[in-house]
Amino acid sequence: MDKIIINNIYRATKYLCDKGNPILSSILFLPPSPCGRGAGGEVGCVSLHTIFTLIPLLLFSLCTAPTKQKQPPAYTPFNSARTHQPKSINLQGHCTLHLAKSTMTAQFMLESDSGTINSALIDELGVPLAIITANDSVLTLTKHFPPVTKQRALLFGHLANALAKSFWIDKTNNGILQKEELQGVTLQYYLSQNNLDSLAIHTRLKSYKQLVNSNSTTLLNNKLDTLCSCLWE
Amino acid sequence: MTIQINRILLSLLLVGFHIFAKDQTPEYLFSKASQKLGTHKHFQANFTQYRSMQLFKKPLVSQGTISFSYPDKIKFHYKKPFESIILLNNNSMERYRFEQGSYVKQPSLEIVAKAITKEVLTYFNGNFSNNFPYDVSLDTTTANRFILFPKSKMAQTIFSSMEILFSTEGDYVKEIKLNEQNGDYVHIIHEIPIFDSLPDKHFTVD
Repeated sequence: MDKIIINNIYRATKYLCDKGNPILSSILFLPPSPCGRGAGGEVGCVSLHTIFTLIPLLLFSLCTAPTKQKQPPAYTPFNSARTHQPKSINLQGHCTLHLAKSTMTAQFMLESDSGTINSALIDELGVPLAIITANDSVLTLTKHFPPVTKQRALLFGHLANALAKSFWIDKTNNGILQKEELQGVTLQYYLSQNNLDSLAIHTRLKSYKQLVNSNSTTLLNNKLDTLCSCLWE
Repeated sequence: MTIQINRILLSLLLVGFHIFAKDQTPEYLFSKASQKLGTHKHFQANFTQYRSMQLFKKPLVSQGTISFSYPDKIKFHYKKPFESIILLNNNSMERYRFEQGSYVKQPSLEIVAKAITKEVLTYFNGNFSNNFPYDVSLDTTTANRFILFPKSKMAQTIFSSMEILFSTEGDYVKEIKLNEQNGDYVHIIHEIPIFDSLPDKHFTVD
């Protein structure tokens, strides 16, 4: 039954997109996922940790100036009305990022308060690999550090932003698709059985899909390759 | 004769004063404390690491074990929140993540490895004490806590101070806290270490 409802919503949404907004119609539209799924020598010894922490921090600080995504041409999403209110969120855990030739795991922090969402990837030694802040109108990449590229850091930022907002959704609207936009990136949430089942992240060039369970989330590209998977406590 | 005695007394006083003053300088006390650590060729301790950032209310907490073997073998074995190993051997750094029963190599920056190795070897070659890159002050409330302020301007942009707390006996470092300019910090608390010999095999992922 839920599946039928979702499919109808999907068709209706696609129709509205096609008729109402030419930009949306050019975006690859991901269908919803199936419903119902649930020191050694002298001072050296003193500073072993410090040495490890300082040098990456030094390099990190020299790495990147704050980066803001360009403001895209404005357009009105078919459903811009917000049906949920920002809520304080505090998540910690770890993410595995799939990079060009390897994977890497880092701790992540995600906090939101008063509509601002802060997220960070931190390596074992405490070095921030990516720091991203998002609010209603802008997503800012404060810094990133290799091997996390700017592109991957921004992608993680969108994942964290979407994840935070998924907690704000009024989950009583069972099965209702909701949609938001942040600087040209469209977030579409698919709900089922009072759970966030999946959400799609659309940029004008690429589409991603995020699968969310009770304590994990996975970001896939449109070929369903895993780009990033996070587990929180 | 009186003059000579006075001279001798004066000399002794000056020498005594000199020794007294030297004993009291934070740099000297820090150097003494550090020398005691250098007597151990091997070192292993559990630790808890707190990473605090102003942007976030709660710090990140991780736990693991650090091992060291003279002159240049270092192993960080993190157990929480996820298991991983960082190995440092002369000029190389390797990271491994424990995944489905085995250790999978992770990317790491060669430039970081080289910089770390250079720094560590500088200490072990004894150059560190000749060109100490910090101003030292002693915490007046806790006799064995030192606060180090970086002299280098570049270092100052990264961190404002480093606090080091020695054990009461001075045989190991209990805590290290690295304070950054913006109030962020990394705080590491060591448990009581063991100084037993560590075989080379310990510094591998096997």
